[in-house]
Amino acid sequence: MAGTVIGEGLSVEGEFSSDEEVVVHGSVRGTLSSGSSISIGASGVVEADVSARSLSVAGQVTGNVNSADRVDIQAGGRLVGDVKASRLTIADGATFKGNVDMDV
Amino acid sequence: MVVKRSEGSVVGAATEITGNVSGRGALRVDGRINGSLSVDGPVEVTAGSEVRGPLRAESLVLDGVLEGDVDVAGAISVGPRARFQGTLRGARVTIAAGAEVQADLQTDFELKLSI
Amino acid sequence: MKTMNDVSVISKSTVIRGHLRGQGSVRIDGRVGGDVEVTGDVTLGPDAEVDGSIAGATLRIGGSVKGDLTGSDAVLVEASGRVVGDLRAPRVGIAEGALVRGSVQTEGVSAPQRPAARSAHVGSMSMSSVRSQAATPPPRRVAPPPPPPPPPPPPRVVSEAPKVVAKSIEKKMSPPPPVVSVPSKGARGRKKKTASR
Repeated sequence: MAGTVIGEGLSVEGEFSSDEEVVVHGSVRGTLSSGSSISIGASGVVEADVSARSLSVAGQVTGNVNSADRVDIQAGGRLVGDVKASRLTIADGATFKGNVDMDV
Repeated sequence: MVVKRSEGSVVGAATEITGNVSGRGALRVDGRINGSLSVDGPVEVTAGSEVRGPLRAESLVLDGVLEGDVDVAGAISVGPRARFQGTLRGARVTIAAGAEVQADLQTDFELKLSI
Repeated sequence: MKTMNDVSVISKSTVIRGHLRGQGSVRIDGRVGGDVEVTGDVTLGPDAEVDGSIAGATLRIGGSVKGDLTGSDAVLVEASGRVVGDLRAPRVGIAEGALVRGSVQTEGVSAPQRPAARSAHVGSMSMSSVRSQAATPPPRRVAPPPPPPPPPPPPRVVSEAPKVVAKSIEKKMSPPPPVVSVPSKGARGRKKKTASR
């Protein structure tokens, strides 16, 4: 089980930092960072700059993403913002708008 | 990767939130929250965790550190390892001996003495 | 007259208007209109009523109290306990079902809180010394501010003659109720309704 779960219906406004896996089904506004992986569930809404080792987006993310490892935008997921990561996958059915920098 | 839906929320032990947390459902705090916390479900602040800020919830089980004013509709249970400073407002308040408490208990009841 | 040592019992039918002070422990099942201050433990049965502060080593409160509770060891409010007042002890417990309104402060064991911090009366020798300045504690507000840190506890010399320190809490200066020698079995005090807060 993930270390931190922001359930659907819960919203966080402010600075959010973690060293463990974070799963967001609710909403986060501000900054979101984890030394581990971050997953944005289908109901998750993130309006924040996101920094994580890896990021999986099935919900909506508005903000710049910085990932040492990888960023995966799932089908149905939506990411608006610049992505800096060594790997980026965008699934069929995903929405993405922004610049990509894979030159890590 | 499939992310499963979850009813409750958990702020894990290695997680720190500076800001406001609000919304629906239950919340367990194993990490740290600096800011206000407001949910309509039960909140559990476990041993080793820290919350600094006002807290509103349906109920509260406190075993960690909490500094702030607590306002819950239901029960407040302060465990033996808890440290609390602030105001406690709830329908029922229990404090285990051993807890470190500096609290202002605001419970609504009538006390009539016949002396 | 009951003198020091041993356990004193204020039985169910007993009503005391005035302060109760002394050594040893006391169990109260009756009613006391005044402060209770002993060196030992204080136990209030479920039907007990105390309109005044209580100070002792370990306080077990099963009854109703309007006044501050100060324990040098512990204050434990049991399920049947009803307290409007401030609780202060190294260990404070409030059981499920108990009702408490007031501030709660746990003190480190290294600095045990001695009785007499807030009631500002210093010891007398026997349970029988009912002081004439018995006072009705003030009605409590809903949200009393945390009490100021008490002055360093006065050394509790049991041989010290009874003496009265000027009341530091002016709100307690309400007119004294009639004084009755203790314990007057079956004495029935004039009924007095006090506002609940």
